[in-house]
Amino acid sequence: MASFKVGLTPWARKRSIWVFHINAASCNGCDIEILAALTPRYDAERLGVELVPSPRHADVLLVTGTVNSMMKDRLKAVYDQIPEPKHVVAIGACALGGGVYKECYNAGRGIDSVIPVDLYIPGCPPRPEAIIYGILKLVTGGPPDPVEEEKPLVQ
Amino acid sequence: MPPDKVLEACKTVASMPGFYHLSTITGLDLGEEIGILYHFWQGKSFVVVRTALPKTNPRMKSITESLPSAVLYEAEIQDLLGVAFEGNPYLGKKLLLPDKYPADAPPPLRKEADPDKIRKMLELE
Repeated sequence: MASFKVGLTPWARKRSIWVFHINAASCNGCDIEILAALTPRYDAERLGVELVPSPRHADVLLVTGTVNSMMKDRLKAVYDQIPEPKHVVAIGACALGGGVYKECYNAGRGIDSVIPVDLYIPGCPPRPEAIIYGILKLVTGGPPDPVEEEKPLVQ
Repeated sequence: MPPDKVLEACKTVASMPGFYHLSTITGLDLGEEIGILYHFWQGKSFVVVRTALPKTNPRMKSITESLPSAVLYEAEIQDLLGVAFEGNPYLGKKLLLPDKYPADAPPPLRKEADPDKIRKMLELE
């Protein structure tokens, strides 16, 4: 998380966070909430959060789901392709530790058993507000100050 | 009904008025044997064709020759309960299970399968 506070990165990335989203064996609930956070209703794009089609263009990796055995190597491959400095956000209960699939024969034990995670967003699924709040927390290192001239996050 | 009569029975049900839709095929572990249920949906009611196979080396004839939509349902039951459907193009292949799924482990929906052991074999712990 340090690299968002060092050198030019706070200035350059504060309003330009490019995210890549990967579904690592999720039920698709969290993916729909990510979609809701990015599209005009919640509009994370006004804060500079943009979904990119390739991990090579991304600053932040959004991962959902318990990592199963088929997704494990692929998730590692995607993670390795992201240029430094990179950050990983685990979204949803499954990504945090297995969620409702924990005792299942094919369910992994969360994202951090495979790749290092910077930020966890709990919820099943988390609300779009929570996802935006989490990504902003990753960038600014804390909750947005309400006295700032920023627009309120959610009306 | 006995497994060798299933194809004929399914053909008969599918030719009944309105029952052309094979909704799904369900597999069940009944303890001593494996039950297979063919659900036909008509819009208001179901007709279910039931059969049971012995648990050791369960094999039966596929119904895909007269009902091609059964391909994926049969492939799923083959994966999860280890039933071989002769004539199904997925015979001996995997549909849902991971490539690394251990050959010596029982199919995952059998009662004797232990999820914890399978997870360890798949290196998920």
